[in-house]
Amino acid sequence: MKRIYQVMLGCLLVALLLTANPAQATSSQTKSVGSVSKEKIVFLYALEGQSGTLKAGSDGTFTLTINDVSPYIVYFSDRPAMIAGSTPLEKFIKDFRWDEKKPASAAVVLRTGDEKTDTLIVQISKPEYNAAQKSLSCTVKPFKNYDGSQLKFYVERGDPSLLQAFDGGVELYIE
Amino acid sequence: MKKFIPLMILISLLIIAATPTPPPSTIVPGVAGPAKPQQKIDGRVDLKAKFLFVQEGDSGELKANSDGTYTLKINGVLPHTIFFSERPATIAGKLAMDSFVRNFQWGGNGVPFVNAAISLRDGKENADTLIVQVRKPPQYDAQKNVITYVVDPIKNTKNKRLAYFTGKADASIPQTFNAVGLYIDTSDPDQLCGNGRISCYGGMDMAAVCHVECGRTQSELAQCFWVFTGPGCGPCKSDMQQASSECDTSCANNTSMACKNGCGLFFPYCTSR
Repeated sequence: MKRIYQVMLGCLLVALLLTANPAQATSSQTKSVGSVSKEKIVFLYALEGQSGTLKAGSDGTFTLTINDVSPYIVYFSDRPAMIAGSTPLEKFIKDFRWDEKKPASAAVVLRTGDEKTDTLIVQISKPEYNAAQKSLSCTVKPFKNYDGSQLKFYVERGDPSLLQAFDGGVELYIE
Repeated sequence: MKKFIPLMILISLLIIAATPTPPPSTIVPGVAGPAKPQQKIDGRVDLKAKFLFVQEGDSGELKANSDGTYTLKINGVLPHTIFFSERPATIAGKLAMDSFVRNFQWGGNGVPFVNAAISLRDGKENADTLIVQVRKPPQYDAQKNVITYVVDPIKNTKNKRLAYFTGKADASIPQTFNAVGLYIDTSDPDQLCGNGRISCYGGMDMAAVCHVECGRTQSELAQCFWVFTGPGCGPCKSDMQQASSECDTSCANNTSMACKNGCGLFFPYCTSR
């Protein structure tokens, strides 16, 4: 009987781990506002930079480089719990659950430029942050079958293409 | 004649260098969504997104004043104020703290005071959230990373964006505390913005070649509004459309290579970040 309880407990722990939201992985959010950590809150992360480039790779992926990137990344949630905070980008890159098999969804949003080429929905992986050079590079892959909810606003504005090089401000929203 | 050749080459090079660079080609396939609900001009859209603002600190204290108000002091405050919006526009970013403190409409003189929620990160559940009204603009000390407010605790607020905190508000919080977030609400984000100036650019750097500033020789005053994509303060869409049109017309008629089709809008004085 004791053995059954151990198995059940193990299953429960595995289930909890599998259903945990990757967005809640970093410690800075779990202690963000009092008892908030006890509730299920999905965060969107917003990263800001000044300029960047998008270069094609050989396998349908692209290398996104963002220059003059802010050393802090903002996390925020929508109603009912409208909470937000910021965490050092270095810590976020280290702590976030980057999964190459199931990459996170993101929206690359240019602040200026043609509205037909200013928003791209991508899957994001392999981030590399260079604090000294204030740059972030990552592998992105444009995709069409977004089935999440946090990036809906940007998916509705998604464009078929994005500028190769851009200036005037760029935002990266990561779900 | 020969001695003019180097000069002509030099002038040609200068003109080529001053000619506006065409935008880079677009390459990346992505998701083709439906028509965008907002028309954007020069990166800005008149979208009335409603924002909450957040300031974060390592510790703080709340001490009673003799007039019934309280002094809220946040230590180790980060040098930025976060802004984020609710659905449908899930937008977020940061504003430089000194700029935010200076430009935010804090109320008074007929304008309603701003409401805020003090939220303690590691506090006890029955003493970690307090709703307050901010009674005057805060004092920000960038050297010491301290921001100080005069606040008045209130029982409730009708501000929808603070509803989450109102729902879990406590009667009091400790006098001293550790990590804290201050959530600031405002009913009208346009309160953030003052007047700005619109002018055209293109040719200004090469005035000797162009002798033109693309139509508007002097910048013009314009009311700035809180707008999407930035986000930040910018001229309203109609002002931008008119100015953009004037710039284009002016440049199209200009025969100088450096100026032709090279006009853009320039509005550096809108108060925001």
